[in-house]
Amino acid sequence: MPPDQEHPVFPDLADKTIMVVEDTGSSRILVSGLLRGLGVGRVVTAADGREALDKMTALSLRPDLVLCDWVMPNMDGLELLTRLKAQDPGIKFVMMTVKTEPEAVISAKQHGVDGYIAKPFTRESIINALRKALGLPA
Amino acid sequence: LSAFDHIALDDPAVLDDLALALPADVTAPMLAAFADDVVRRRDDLIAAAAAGDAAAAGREAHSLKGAALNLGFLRLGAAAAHMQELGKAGDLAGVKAASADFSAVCSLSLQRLEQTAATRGLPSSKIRL
Repeated sequence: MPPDQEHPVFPDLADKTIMVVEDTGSSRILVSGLLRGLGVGRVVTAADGREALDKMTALSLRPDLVLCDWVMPNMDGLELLTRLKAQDPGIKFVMMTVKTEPEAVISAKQHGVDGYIAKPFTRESIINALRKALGLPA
Repeated sequence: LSAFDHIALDDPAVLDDLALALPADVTAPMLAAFADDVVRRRDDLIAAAAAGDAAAAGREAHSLKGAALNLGFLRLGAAAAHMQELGKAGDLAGVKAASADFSAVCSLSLQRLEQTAATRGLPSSKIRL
């Protein structure tokens, strides 16, 4: 049975806002749907880093966590990570990407990333990364 | 026949598992968006190759690879990965030579997507080929 919002999988995510930044439409819908299915209270989406920053400003939004693709047009995930951490070091940021070579992981860590999800991702890999980044029990 | 025919076109178990994890209103728009992704990325990749920009072709393939594998479209994921590597290496001749096979895999994947939507009782109008 598909999940329903009356009985969330993780009730402790109900007060969380997560921004999904992903340039590929189907992946954006997939990730935001998985988050809703887990019980995340509010999911906001953007198609690239520039749109993410614009939406945060327009909505006066400070997400609890940003779940972001790396390779995107206009502004990529690493630049968004760098900008967000510079203005708000406490914001949680998880990179989801097919870039799994060691130098990419090290670079993301040097820029303050709080988690890393390799694509193709699984529901479990998303759960583990976001709960760890948010400081919630596994 | 394409160079990727030895790879399974898709793994239906991936979408089965996702259907259990996604709210009921998500699967149809997600598959429709994937059909759009395949068509747009394929067309942009071929246009980039025609314009002599192997790197841009590789970036289009990169985006499609992740989307395809997330939904269990294994052959398309492999074909996109191959195009991505050629693009990343700046091998424009290689990208052009492999474009026909890549397009063939895109077409087969779109057909399977339409079958998948029909099998699952999803509105066919949501899938635009």
